[in-house]
Amino acid sequence: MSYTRGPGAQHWHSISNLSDGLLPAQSSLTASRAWGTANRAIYLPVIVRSRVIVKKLWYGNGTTATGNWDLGLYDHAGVRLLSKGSTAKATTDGQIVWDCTDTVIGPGIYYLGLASDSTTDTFIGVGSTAPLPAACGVYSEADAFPLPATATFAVPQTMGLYVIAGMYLDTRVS
Amino acid sequence: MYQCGYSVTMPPMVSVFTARIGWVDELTGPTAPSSAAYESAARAVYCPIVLPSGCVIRRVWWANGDVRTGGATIEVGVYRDSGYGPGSKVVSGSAAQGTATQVQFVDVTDTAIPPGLYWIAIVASTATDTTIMRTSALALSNPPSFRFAEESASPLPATATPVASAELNIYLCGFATTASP
Repeated sequence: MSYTRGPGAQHWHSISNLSDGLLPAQSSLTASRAWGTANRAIYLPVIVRSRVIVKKLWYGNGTTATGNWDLGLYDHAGVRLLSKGSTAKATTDGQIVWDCTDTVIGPGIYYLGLASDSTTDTFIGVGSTAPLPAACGVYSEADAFPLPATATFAVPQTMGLYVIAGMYLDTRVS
Repeated sequence: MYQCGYSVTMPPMVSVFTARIGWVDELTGPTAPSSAAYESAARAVYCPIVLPSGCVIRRVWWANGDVRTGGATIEVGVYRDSGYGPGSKVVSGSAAQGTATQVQFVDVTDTAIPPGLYWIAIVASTATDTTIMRTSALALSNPPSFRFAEESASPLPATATPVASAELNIYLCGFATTASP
């Protein structure tokens, strides 16, 4: 049985680094943005307010698809909780959704990890420039494709890319 | 399972731009920050943040703009609220301006603070050839609603003497709750 009392305890069914991340609300989505650096992983902070079941992970797909991607979820210490593994980027546009193993996580800060082995593949992101992602708590890691079991977080001082990823949740944790 | 209210986790990077903590999130700043000259030498600018939970301040930081040949000393601090305005200083850190268009960190004494209203302060010792990433609030915004200023405030004073400010600039600076990266 799930029993929730008090406002604000539950999340929407889908949260992202835009809805529950650290980027200010002024930020607007923009068209496809090139990944820029092959094999780079980007770790996008998302704050989870209550205990939830992660049902699926997703990211915003761009208009170019030639390489491979990986999508995962990490805890605050960089320990990988979920990852898809290297996957061919077969389609363009829309939302790419991965039906992951149902995983219960508690409240805290988590990082959605997204990696690509292509410099030119594109993803939906925010029209930001360096060092705004770094100032908003985004981390990156070079040579991290596919996503590693333990992330080595680094401050992406020269990275302007702020892509969008998220997770579908079931908030009825029993 | 029984939940009452919701849990709050403080992010690693806290600033006026941080969603649900800083006031830029309330659409006072309509555009993303960009490099711009610091508005006036030794003028401290104070902007409010609301911390939903306690945390430990381990570093302060600011985002350098594309010109920093003035060799300015930049200082960022955190102040307690004092009746809607910055009061006594909690902690601050300073350094000569470093690499352009990067976030520059300065270690400070680890300082625990409870939840509540605080003010992020920034000051540059010189405004000549000194740029910081910033946005500007909407032209019709009321500056005292999101910032105060203080002249001759480099280094940052132990107790702020804030005055209403007509400027609309909001600087990308704040503190980190982590020691690294």
